[in-house]
Amino acid sequence: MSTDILFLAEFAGGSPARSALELATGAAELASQSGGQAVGLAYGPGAASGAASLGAQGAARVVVLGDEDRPAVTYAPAAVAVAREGGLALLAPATPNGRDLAAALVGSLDLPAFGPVRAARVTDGVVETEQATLQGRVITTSRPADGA
Amino acid sequence: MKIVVCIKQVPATGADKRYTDDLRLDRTGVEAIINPLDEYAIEQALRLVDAGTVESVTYLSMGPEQAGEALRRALAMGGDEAVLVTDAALAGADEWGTAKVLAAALDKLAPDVALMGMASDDARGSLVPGAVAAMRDVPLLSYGAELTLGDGEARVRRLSATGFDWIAAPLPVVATVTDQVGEPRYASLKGIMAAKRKPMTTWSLADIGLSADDLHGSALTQVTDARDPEAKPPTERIENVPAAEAAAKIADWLAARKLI
Repeated sequence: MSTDILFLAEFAGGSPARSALELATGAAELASQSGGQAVGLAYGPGAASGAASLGAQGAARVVVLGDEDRPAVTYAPAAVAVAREGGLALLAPATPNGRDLAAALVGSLDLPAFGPVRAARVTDGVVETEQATLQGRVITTSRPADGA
Repeated sequence: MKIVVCIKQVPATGADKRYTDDLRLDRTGVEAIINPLDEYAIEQALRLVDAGTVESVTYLSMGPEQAGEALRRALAMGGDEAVLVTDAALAGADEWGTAKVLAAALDKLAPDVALMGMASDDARGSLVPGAVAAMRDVPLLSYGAELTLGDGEARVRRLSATGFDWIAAPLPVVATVTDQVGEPRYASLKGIMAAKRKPMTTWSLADIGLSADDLHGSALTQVTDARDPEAKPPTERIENVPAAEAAAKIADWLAARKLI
């Protein structure tokens, strides 16, 4: 099973969104724990020409889903095709576009979903996450169910 | 045209919220309400009825039997009927499990639009609408400040970095709306009385063609721990000192946290 950590990297106006750079760093950290690579799925205007910038933040590889200015969810089929090849986890920004794409992946590939996540780590070969739930009143730790 | 509005019953905003010993949300004895963001979806659907664009509104919810109370409150605002999917096997369902159930129920109801609020007040994952759309293989029109229907398509007006965009897709669709739709109407006394007579149907998993095995129990995720959040450190106040001294203290505080 792949131990790569995928992440969604949104581009707008020719540049990576701040979330793309943050997720690249986060994915690289998790990949160092899992023994895999951080792999970016870049989309939006500037993705093709700017993909290399994610390397500076720790991405080992970037797949460009497309660089047209269109709703992010329309990139879902391309993202699903990449994710179907494997990976231990996929990180998505908690933005409207990020949630839409992540949700499409969850629904298309029947993936366990955690979010919004405030911390993540690789434990015993799986990604374990922390969430602030119930309006921040409870901090939960979660992981994929057995066999999921 | 037919709309199904998916609503969720959640603990009231000010209610005492906690997890049980087996790490599930404890709903016993807790005041429950319609998820506040779902009320905007209800309002949007009813506005389309008022405009003559939509003929019927059905409410759909997944939850324990007490979730029927939320459906009755929705019917009191307007709409025609409600469906509750409830099953003991659904206890502890996560976003994926919820989406799976709603998708199956929506396939049975076959609306032109499955309409939802943009997030739930408790989990705030915002993944269920998109997952439902993917499972049903229909377009998702999300985060709409307004929803319009006509000529075989749905359109949402969506906030963008440069203003508003209109995004359209052929029917049927899954759509979500935000609080920009406008204030939800109050239920009138006449509406509350009428809601008691409107039909409400209860479905089990078998009624929508699913089994507990289809849902991996009820979830692909498991909660392994639940704890109180860390206590926030006391607030530092810099006051009643000369401006230069205050500036120096602020700079030291920022530098200590490597923010400058």
